[in-house]
Amino acid sequence: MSLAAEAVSLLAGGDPETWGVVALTLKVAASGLLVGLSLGVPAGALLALARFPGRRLLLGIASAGMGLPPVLAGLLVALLLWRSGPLGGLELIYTPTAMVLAQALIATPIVVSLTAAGLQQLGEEMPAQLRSLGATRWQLAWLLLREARLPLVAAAMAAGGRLLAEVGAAMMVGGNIKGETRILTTAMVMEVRQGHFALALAMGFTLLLLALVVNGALTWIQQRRAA
Amino acid sequence: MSATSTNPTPVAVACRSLRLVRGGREVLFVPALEILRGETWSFIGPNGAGKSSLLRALAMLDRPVAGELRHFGEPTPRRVPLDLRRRVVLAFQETLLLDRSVVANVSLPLKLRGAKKREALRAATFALELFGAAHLADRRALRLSGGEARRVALARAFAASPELLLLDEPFAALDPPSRELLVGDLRAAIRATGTTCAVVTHDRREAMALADRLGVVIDGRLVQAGATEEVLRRPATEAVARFVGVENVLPVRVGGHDGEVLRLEAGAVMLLARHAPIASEVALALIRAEEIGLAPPGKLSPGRILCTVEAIAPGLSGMEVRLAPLGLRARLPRGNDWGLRPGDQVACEIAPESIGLVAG
Repeated sequence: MSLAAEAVSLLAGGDPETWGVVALTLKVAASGLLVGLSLGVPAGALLALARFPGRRLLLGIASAGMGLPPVLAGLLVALLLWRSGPLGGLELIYTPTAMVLAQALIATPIVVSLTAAGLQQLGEEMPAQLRSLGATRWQLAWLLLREARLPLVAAAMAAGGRLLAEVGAAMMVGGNIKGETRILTTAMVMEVRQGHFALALAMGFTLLLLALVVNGALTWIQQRRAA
Repeated sequence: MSATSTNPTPVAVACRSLRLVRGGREVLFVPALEILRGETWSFIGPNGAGKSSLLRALAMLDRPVAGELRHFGEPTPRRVPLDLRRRVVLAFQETLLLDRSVVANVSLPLKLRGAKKREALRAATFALELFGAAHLADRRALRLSGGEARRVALARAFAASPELLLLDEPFAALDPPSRELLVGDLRAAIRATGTTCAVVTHDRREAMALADRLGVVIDGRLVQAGATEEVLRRPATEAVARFVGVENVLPVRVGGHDGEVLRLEAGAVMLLARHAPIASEVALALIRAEEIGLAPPGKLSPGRILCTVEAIAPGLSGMEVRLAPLGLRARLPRGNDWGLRPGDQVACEIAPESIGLVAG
């Protein structure tokens, strides 16, 4: 009981360091999601609508990629960015940018798969019907994505939730450096390891709250559209 | 229409020896077809016969693997330019409306073509009025009933004033009264706008009600195409005859001919047919039930056959009578069957003009 009370008072106290961690958590997850969406939506649309050899294989890879363990995504990015790695010269390892890259790698397959599924759900004949009504290729893509807006919001929710919650990749490529790459999940791991359970719990509350707010907002958009 | 004046050819679309393949399988062969501007065509045939594939090819959505296809007098290019594709609209069997307001759906084809908002709205309103659906304008399209959605989908297809309009089963999944109303409205819309139109249906009565030209697609082949009356009166094959509802298909032996009149032996019965000579000695005589005149046997005269009533029962469009010999099926207006019963004798008259012949 005292533990929970202490956690709440810590939250209420709102020390600036904790707020910095919260802000970075949001920033990294949002950036990762943004990159994931800007790569994943066009790729998903292409896979759903275009016909080319290897399309099914790529769809399969994307859907397998939805289950990519974050820690493995972290490892892949770490191998690339490690000082002696192929992109080591960029000196990105242990920076928020590295974390965003890893998170984008986690988010993209989710967005690709769910975008493709959402578009395919409109039916095989919908694209042909819109083309016959006079749509160009770009008009067609826009109309279909607009029509699949609910599945797209769901894709963003699924990917965003996963990014907020993951710890493995952030730890591996960010390194949990105080004031630089420390986010809620990595901070929690560290605080628990040091026996600061109240602080970890406070952070856990915050993380939960963030997830609820983000998903709540997206659900609200989805429900409003569906009403 | 400005397009008509810049392109004076009267032919909207023409095909010759066209072969269509879908999923690696040949789905349709069209020996020859020519749709002129201003004509209304119906294409009928059993489900899965290839009718929809024909429309997709005419809409330039699918490319034929072989044969000749021309749109508006020019060979259809392999890569169809946008402005050519936009002269033709195909409305699919599913209504496929977007999750927006009705008016947004119907004005879509104009907006895609870069029309100004006001112009698009005006055209959409006009098209909705054609189908008595103007009151639905602000409704959400996906909340409409089946019949309403169908009217909106048709209005959308008309909205861009296509030079060739292709409709795939526009009456599918409607109950019979709504169907009948919509057939009337569609016919009126086609006439009012002067749209060149091809409608696929599997219901021959709808085809007759809508179209002055009729094409019959059976087993992946356009078997016959021509004036509706002509196709109905002179089916080219037995399959066409059965599909367009010719009740009597009788195997006959072709005897000699007297000028233009052929003598046909159907068992012991002799029939006379005014028909061009036919190469085959065995043939099928095609006779519609309503072309068979029945009279009380007292009036028997040369050219009439004495028959016995095997069965008589009320049908949709009159009393259906089955006669021996030959199992002939005839029809009498209801209430005008002078109390015929099975076993009664009747005189049966078949005008030589009303007998069609196909090789057996």
